Amino acid sequence: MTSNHPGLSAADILSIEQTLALFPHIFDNDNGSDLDLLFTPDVVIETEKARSVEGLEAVRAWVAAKTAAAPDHQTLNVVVFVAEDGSVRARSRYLRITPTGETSNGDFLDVLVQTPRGWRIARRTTISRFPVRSVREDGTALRDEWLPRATGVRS
Amino acid sequence: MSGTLPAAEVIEIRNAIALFAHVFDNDLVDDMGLVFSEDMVVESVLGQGYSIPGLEAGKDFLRRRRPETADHHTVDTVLFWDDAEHVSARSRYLAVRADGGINSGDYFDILVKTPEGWRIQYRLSVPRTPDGPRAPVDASFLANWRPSAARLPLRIA
Repeated sequence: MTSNHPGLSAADILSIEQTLALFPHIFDNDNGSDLDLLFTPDVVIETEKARSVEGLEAVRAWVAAKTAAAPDHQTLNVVVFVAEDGSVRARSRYLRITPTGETSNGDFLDVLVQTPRGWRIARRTTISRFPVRSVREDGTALRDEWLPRATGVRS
Repeated sequence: MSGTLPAAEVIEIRNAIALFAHVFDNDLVDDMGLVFSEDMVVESVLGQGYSIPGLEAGKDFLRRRRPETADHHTVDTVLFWDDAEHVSARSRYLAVRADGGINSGDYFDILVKTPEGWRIQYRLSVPRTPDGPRAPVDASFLANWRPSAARLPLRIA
């Protein structure tokens, strides 16, 4: 039987899931000073609007600029795997809820690294699903790179 | 300060938290003890707020649950080590209402290790969306559940 997480222990996977779970509690609560519990200093976050945020300080500025109308995030259906290039990846579904109750969803495609202080997200790509908006042209192909396959290890 | 728990115990703690939805939403009054300790206290700031002291009071609360009460989904759980027999947990809840709408909020839990396994000893439920009437929350009390350099999530071995 082929494992899709060679080299990762149960503790690693639980720790990665906990790191991903930190995102709503830190980001949604505007706790920019705690973002280093979640991201590497050189983190890159890309959104479907082709917006790219590079570095922890830029993410902190992003958090500081959020308005009261910004949605909450919930992270579900986390799948962790090791890609053929050896990178540790996580694919999860996000569910956003605005203060007035509107919902939207999408995928978080993450690359994680193990640091002396624990697992951190080094790269996050966000791709919205519903409601349908104009999405990145390569959105489908990018999602496919993170799809689990019966063969186990994903490239 | 952060302690370490083995993966098996973390899974057991997560199961206790996840069981809440399956027990409460399905009216399994006799199984409430799988989720909560005998000395549990569950509080909410919804509306004017309420407090349910003790497992028997929790069972009475569940017996009075109306069929149209929202279903619960618990996600994004982060654990904090308190001592060898207690952990704090912070989760987000999604509550799907009978009309199909959705409410959300935070669960601030303290779990205790009993001879029967990990159980929720204290829960504070704080709504987030949509906006509505709620009792005030003591921000200094909630600081215990804020992940930070001074309050690191527990390490998992």
